[in-house]
Order: sequence, then structure tokens, then C-alpha cells
Amino acid sequence: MVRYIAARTAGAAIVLAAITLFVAFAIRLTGDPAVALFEGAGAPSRQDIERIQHAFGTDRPFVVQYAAFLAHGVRGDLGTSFRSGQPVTAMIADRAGATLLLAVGGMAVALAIAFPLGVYAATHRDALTDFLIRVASLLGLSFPNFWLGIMLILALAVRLRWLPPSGDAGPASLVLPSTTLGIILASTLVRLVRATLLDTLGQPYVRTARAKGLRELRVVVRHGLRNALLPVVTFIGLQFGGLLGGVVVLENVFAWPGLGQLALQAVSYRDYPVVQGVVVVLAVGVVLVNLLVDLSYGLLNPRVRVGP
Amino acid sequence: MRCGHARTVRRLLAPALVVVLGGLAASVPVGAQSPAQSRGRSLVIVQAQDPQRWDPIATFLLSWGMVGCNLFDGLVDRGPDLVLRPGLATGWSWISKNTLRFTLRRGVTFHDGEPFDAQAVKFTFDRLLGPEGAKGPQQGNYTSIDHVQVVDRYTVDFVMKTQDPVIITKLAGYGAMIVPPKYIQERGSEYFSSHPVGTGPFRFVEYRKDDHLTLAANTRYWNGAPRVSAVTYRFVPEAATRVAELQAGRADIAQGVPVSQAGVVKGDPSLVLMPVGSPTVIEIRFDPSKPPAGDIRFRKAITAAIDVQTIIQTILQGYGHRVSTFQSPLSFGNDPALAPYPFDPQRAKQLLAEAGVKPGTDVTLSFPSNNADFREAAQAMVSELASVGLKLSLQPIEQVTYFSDTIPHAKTGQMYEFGWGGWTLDFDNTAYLLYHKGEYWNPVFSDADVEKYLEQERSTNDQKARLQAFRALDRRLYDLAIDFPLWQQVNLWGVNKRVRGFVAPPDDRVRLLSVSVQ
Amino acid sequence: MTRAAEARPALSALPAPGRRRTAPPGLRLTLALGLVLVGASFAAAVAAPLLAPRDPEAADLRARLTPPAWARPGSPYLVGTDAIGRDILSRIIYGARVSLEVGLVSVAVSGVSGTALGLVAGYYGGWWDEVAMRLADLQLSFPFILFAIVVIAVLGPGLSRIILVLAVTQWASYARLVRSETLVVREADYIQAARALGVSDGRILWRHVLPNAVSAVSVLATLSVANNILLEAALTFLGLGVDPSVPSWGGMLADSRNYIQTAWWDSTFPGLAIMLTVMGFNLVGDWLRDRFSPRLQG
Repeated sequence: MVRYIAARTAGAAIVLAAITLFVAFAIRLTGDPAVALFEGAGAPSRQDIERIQHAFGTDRPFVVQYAAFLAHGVRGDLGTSFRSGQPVTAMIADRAGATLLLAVGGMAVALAIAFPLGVYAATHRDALTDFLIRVASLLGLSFPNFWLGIMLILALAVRLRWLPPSGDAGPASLVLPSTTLGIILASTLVRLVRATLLDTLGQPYVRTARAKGLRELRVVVRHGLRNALLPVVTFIGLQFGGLLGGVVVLENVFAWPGLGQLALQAVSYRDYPVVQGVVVVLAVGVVLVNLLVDLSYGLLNPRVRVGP
Repeated sequence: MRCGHARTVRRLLAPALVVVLGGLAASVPVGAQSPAQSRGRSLVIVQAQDPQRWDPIATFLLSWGMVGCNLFDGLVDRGPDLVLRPGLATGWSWISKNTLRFTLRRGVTFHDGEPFDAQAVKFTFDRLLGPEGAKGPQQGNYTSIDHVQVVDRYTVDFVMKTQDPVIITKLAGYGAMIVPPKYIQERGSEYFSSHPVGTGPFRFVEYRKDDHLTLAANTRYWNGAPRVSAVTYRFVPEAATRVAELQAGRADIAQGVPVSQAGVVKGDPSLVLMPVGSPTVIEIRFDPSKPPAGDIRFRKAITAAIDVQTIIQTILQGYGHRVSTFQSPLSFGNDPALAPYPFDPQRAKQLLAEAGVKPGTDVTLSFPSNNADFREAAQAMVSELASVGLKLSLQPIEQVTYFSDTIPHAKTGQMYEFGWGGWTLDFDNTAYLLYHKGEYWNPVFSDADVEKYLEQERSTNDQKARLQAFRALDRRLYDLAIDFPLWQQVNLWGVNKRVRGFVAPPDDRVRLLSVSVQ
Repeated sequence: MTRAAEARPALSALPAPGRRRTAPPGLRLTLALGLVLVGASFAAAVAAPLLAPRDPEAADLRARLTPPAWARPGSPYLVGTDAIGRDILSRIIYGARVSLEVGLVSVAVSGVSGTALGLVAGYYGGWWDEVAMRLADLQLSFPFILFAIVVIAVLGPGLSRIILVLAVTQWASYARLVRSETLVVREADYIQAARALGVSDGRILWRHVLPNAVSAVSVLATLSVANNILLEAALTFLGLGVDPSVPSWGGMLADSRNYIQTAWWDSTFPGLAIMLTVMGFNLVGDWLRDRFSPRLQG
């Protein structure tokens, strides 16, 4: 186990180096932060742009810039934002909490919807209710997230005035964004729970358990769900990485001060240090979650071995 | 039996969510009391963008100006009427050809209690013109100033390096806002940037990035105390959400209401819609290096084929004013005698035939993808150009790529959108950087006459001579049809009716000193 | 306590059709409705010029935001016009082309490549697994939006770029999912038996491992078709979309968001088109899974 984790850590370091190199290089192909700084100003002169490039250090060769990033990065210093003048680590720390809250809230809503519905649909396969659950679960997939978000704002915040439309001020303001996120995640999750549960319920050992006269609920929970968890856990792990992509748009709609907005603004102002910092944090998160997912395979299913 | 039932249910279920949500969205509000009442004398403003830095020398963003004009004062002040008047200086005069003397207001203090005096002015401009200012975008505006000299505690001299006909206007600009020397020296620029201190009518209370900034009334303000007790600026990037905040009664003033939502604000009995003409003008530029845009007949044909007036009346719902050159009527140098290019599709076809442009020819119009109004207008142009035989492709481009790569490296289509408001309201600010050969955003176009007129207006302080040079320039550009000016942008503000004394500012600097709430 | 991988079905993973019991009504319904919906969207895409009442790009600014014909009797526009004064029905019919292309091509590319990598990684393990999964980590930690901006900035805007972005950012999901299924199956007794009998790896993967992954992959793939149609809308929302005069459902929905309160038809009908198509693909996916997944045979 220790050797396995050590090997994975080495792999993670390579992944991090590769992705930062790629991101740092690619983002520099897409536009100049010095020009972005002049938004609202009309046109900068060439001297203005050169002066700002010098202040940002973007006039240095790429290799020098990347080496400086690495040298500081290994000491936990991700640089200073072009746009806010703040240390990148502080900016990410400021916003990580809000995004985590939104992600957990969204996942909680999704699980609360998906597990009961998925189990019910699987145990009533091909019945009308199964059909209706499957069709209803597609609704969340039929609207773009920004559109669903705006509709929920109009209905629940503007017309009914039950909830604040946007911002992060207290638990009430978490409801709309996490519900929007939850509905979207649940659509996939309901179907996944149903499908994998059906697979396991069709297994001979489950039939054996039934034949032994175990109560249906006990069969489903002990034998069905336990094995159905594997793909569901994988999915949640996958979603964690993808979640940031999804929250970018939702944080924008709901004016949620999280990493998604930070990332979107950093990209749209070509704030290289922040873009690189967000990617590093995200990559560490993805690598960690996938490591946990791989380890959990072994716990959930003793016959699965992972790793070299 | 079961199947039939299932089918019926399904048919009803599919549109159910749309109907339910749509029904709710269209119904009358059921919320009892508006949250607006519970805010008392404090004000909530929703704006699209958080400028991230509150240091005046570090920004060019209108979103900074919206807040900054309430935190800081300059020596000179430009209000919503765009007239220049005394600010922290009570008067000024040229004491020699290159020396401008200011008499300062007495008894003013910064929010932290530090007194305002000549040292503060000198510190502000030393900082702006020195290494700290070099890191920000504002310095370039003030390079005509050589240095500031303290004459006595309430008198300063600005010693000029070069002629600058718009220096007084510039001293009302962001970079010239007076900052507190002691505070910045003790706390450092980074701290100042997130905990700003000025002399303005409101003082800093709290700031959470990407969420909100709160200010409280500065009751000792030199020009009288504000009438609201506090103001919170919330940063809400999505326009539909800003309007929703306004409708829900949780915001008093919303910046940047899109034209497409104007009807929503107008239709709400608790809100008013306030339009104001901005310095920003929208136009289509031609890239003469891309055939057939090098042919003046093609360019003129385009100006005749697009019905700008109808686009303004329909897509912009009248919120836009036609212009004939690339400047607003507010701009010094605008020639009201020039009529906009007439709409005449017959003439357009004829010009295209003369230029040898075959029917069905492909042309491309590039534009930055964040301009929603132009995006709609461009789609109307596709249809209009189709009726004179041109196949127009639209190319929306992410905005930073657009301004830092596509335009400077001449990667646009034959036509591309350009929008600009010269904040000094002097055509020089626009014309020099757009028509002078080899400027960053003018990689292709050059014309000897244009260069001559630009040289003329730059070499003198005599405003009459400058105006004459600008008029000649206007005429030359108009005849060349190197660009196709479309409209002056009108900015829309949504305001709750409980707010009194709000004046929609053309330059987004919302002054709250005389605003009150009921 | 029964262990998971005990007593897998026999070597022939795909049973003979004769052994199937007749499909229950719910399943037949699933297929019928699914085929009708998918068929309708394909028909719209293929026969758009015949079906559409008008030119989808012809604008009449004076008729902009006309309500549907039943709300305004005598109006020539069945489901109304958009903000430019174009016929929404015609745009929906033509929009099927772009939307189906985006949805299907991106899923086909990412699904096939991701599944192949996942099979190899899960079955062979070791270095194969390590390299493929680290590549997947690399891809999964690269923010979608950033990748989209980079690709579109470097290669220029266009439909093919959007498809490329979607395909490249999704293969890892398939790879990880298939790998997790493969890890379970490769330990099964019947696979071990097949190996002992000298069956080639390729044949084992194709005949015995892949069918076990079909279930999860088909769910993911059919959901992704829908998701990718919507991601095109999100890209438009974020300003990375394609030529807005060329109709696509996602683009129509993104551009209609400011008119939700004043012109409900502008967003409702493209939304319905997406919803019905999404439903169609998923119902067909459900059927495919029930038909081909070996573990579901009663």
C-alpha cells in the first residue's frame, strides 16, 4: 500500500508539472494581460503596453517566466495576481470555501433526489413509475444550467420572494444555486443508480439471497446497493473535477464569490498567475479524489486490485 | 391500457416544468413587503464587475469609477453634466506657458483624519508618475506633467513637460484622485488597494472580493454630508440577475440593464428606467488589406446597404443615436454638419457592381462576443447584406483575444466591430490612436491627409485651430469611408422609485452625495 | 456474505435472441417513443430545406418577437419570431443539424477513444494503467472553459473547434468508467478460464469484457449527447460560440435568456426541441442497455 501511494504521488508530481507547463504556455497564446488591463480606457499606446508588460514580467522569455513560477511554486508561492495585486494563494483560499459549500450543497441535493428515485425505479423496473422517473430525470438535462438558474431565480426569488436571487449572504442564498446544481447532477445520478442497481440485482448471488427468503429491502441494500456504489463513487469522483467547469457558469449567474468566478475572470483577463494557481489547485484535487476513488474500489470490492 | 395511460402522462409531463416555471415567472409577485423598505437609509447598487483594486492609479475600469467617485476627490471635478468645476482645488490658472498653479481647499481631511494639503497633492503625482504608477495603466495619461512643486501649504504648481490641451479634464480622471500620503506610506500600496482612504463623501467599511463593497457616509465631507447612511455595491456579472435583484427589491440601482430587459424594468411599477447617452460609439471598421474592402466602392456599398436607423429603432428600441463620425456629439471635434451615410440598397447594389463584387461573395464581420446588442444587430445585417447579394459570415471572438491579437495583428474579417468612448471627450484621444499609422489598434490603415490633420491638432493649444483641424479630419475620414460609424451607445440604469436625486451619469460615475431614499 | 464477482454468467456473454423473453410493455414503449423522437430530430436535420417554412436567416426587424400564431391570430409565424425577427420554427428545424452534429460527433470520438483506453488500462494494469490514468488526471484537471478559450483562440472560432473541445475534454470520463468496470470483470472466474484456454486478449476484451462495460458507457454516452448539446449553449453564454446567425438549439437558448420575461416563446420552443431530443436519445440508450447488457438477462 505504501509503495502504491508513493508511486501515485510520483505520478501526481509528473501530472502537475505537465499540466502547469501546458497551461502556462497555452494561456500565453491567447492574449495579452497588459491589453486586458486597459479595458474601459479606449486604446493603449505601444509605450503603455510595453510598460505594463515590463511591470508584469511578461516581457521576459517564456522559459524564464515558467522557471520562476516553478521555483516559487515548490515553496508554496503561486505568485501575485496581475489584476488584484494579491498573492494567488490568498485569493484561492478566500474563494475555495464558497465553492466547496456550493459543491457539497449541490451534491447533497443530487444524492437526496437520486438515491430514493434510482432505487425505486430499479426495483420497479419497466413499470409506469420507473418510466416516469426516468423521463422526469431527463428534465434536469434538458436545460442549460444558466437557463435553469435564471428560471429558478425568476420563479422563487422574483415572483415568490422566498429566497434572495444571488450573492452569498447566509444559508438562504445557498438554496437556489445548490438546487440548480443538484437538479442537473441528479439527472445523471438517478439513471446511474438505477442502471447499476439493475445490473447487480440481476446477479445470481442476489437471486440466491432472495431465494434464501431475505426481505426485499435487505436484499437491495445489503447486496444491491453495496455493489452499485462502485460506479456511483467513480461518477462522483469524476464529477468533482468536472464540477468546477459546471460551477463556473452557475457562480456567474448567481454572483457566487467562488473559485469558478475567480477562474473565469482570471481567464478572461489573462491573469496568468491566477490561472496557473487555479489549475494547480484543481489538479491536486482531481488527483487526490481519484486516488481515493481507486482505493475505495478495494474496500467496496475485495477482489479488485489496483496499482502495479 | 397501462401503455395508453403512460403515454398520456408523459405527454403532459414533458412540458410541465416549462409551464410551471413559466407560469410562476409570468405571474404577479406574491411577496408581501418589499425588502427595499427594510434597508432604511442605506442603498444597494448592483454592478457587473468588481475592479479588484481600489487604488486609483491601478485601474481604468468604469466599475472603479462608479465607486471611486464617492471615495476620492480630484483637484478638478467633472459631474454628470460633464462640466468641469473646482474639486479639492478652489481655482487654477496658467502662471507661465508651462506652469499651472492650483489653490487648494482648506480644512479638508482624509477619512483616516490625515489633513489634505499641498504635500498630499505632490505625493499623489510623484506616486502616479514614479515606479508605483508605472505598474498601472493610468500613468500614460499624465506623462505631459513633468513634476508637481509645493509653493506653500495650500498652493501647488504643475510644471508641464509637453503641451496638453486636455490636462484640466485629465485632472478629473481616475489617476489624478488625491490619495493620503501618511496612510499609504505606513500601510503600503497593497493594503491601500483593498482598504481605500480618500477625501470623498463616503468612507470605506468592508470589502469582500467578487461579492460586495460597503461604504458609510462621511459626515464631515467638505461639500456637505450625504443623505444616505451607507451604500453597498454588489458585484453581479449576469445582467438578467441584476434585473432580478432590482425586481425582487433587493437592489436600489442596477448598472448595465441590457436593452433586451428594458421592457421588464419599465413594466415594473416600483422601478424606473433611466437612459443616458454615453461617450461610447459603436462602428464597423474596414480592413483595407482584405479584398474587396480596399475598394472604396465596396465600403460605401456596405454603408448604404445596412439600415442603421431601423436597427436602432427595433433592436436597440430607440436607445442609441446615429452618428456620422467615430465620436459622440459630446466629443470636441464632432461636426454636426456631416449627415450619417444614407441607407440606399439600390445604390449599394450599383456600387458593388461597379466594384466588380460578384453576387454571393463571402464577407466576414468579426466582433467581440461580449457585446450583446451588436451581436443582435450583426444578425440583422446578415439578412440586409443578403438582399444586396453579399453572404455575410459572423465571427464572434472572445474579447481579450480580439483586442490583443485579432485586431493588432490584422486577423479580422473585411469588417470588424469597434466600440470606444474617449473619456476626455476630445477627439484626439480616439483619432490619434485609431488613424495614426502603425498604432497598436491600427495595423493597416494610413492616409497622408489624415496624418497632416492629426499633426495640426496635436501641435497647438489653440482650441479654435484644433477644432478646424478636427473638422477637416472628420470630412476626410467620412469621404474615405474607412469606417462605418453606427450609433452612440445609450446606457440604461434601473432604479427603484424609493431612490431620489439619482442622475444617470454618461461616464458611469454615480455620485451619491445628493441621492436620498424614501 | 456473498462476494461480488462470484459465479459470473457463462462464456457466451451475448445470449441467443431466442432465449430472450418477450420485452415487457415498458421496454417496448421505451424503444418506440425513443425512436420516434430521435427519428424526428434526424428527419428535421436531413430534410430541413423541405420542412422549414422559411429561410432561417431571413430577418424582418419589424416583426421581431412576434408571439406564436395561436396567441396572435393571422400571424404567419407558427411559434413566433426571435429578437431579430426570424421564424423560430424554421430555425429549430435547421438547428437540428448543428445540434446533432455537435452532440453525436463529440460523443462518438470521446466515447470510442475513452472506452478503448479504459479497457486496456483496466485489463493490462501496470504501466498501461498508470500512463492512461495519469493522462486522464491531466485532462480532468484542465478546466473545460480554459481549454475552450485556448483552442478557440489559437485555432479560431468554428463548429469543428467546439466539437474538438468537447471530444478532447470528455474521453477521460469514459476511460475511468470503463476501467472501473474492467477491474471487476478481469478477476472473474470465467475470464481467468478463458485465458487459461488460450483465448486471445483481443477476443476476451471484445467478447467478454466490453459487453460488461456497455451498460455504464451507454448511459454516459446518451447522457453526454444531451449534455454536449447544452454545453454548446454554455459556450455561447460565455462568449465562445459560433456564428450566431447559423441556427443551433443551444445558441438560440443562450441568446434568448434576456427575453425569458418578455417573450417566453423565444426560449421555450428551442428548449422543448432539446428536451424531446434528449429524451429520445436516452430512451434509445435505455433500450440498448437493457438489450445488450449481459447481466440484465432474466
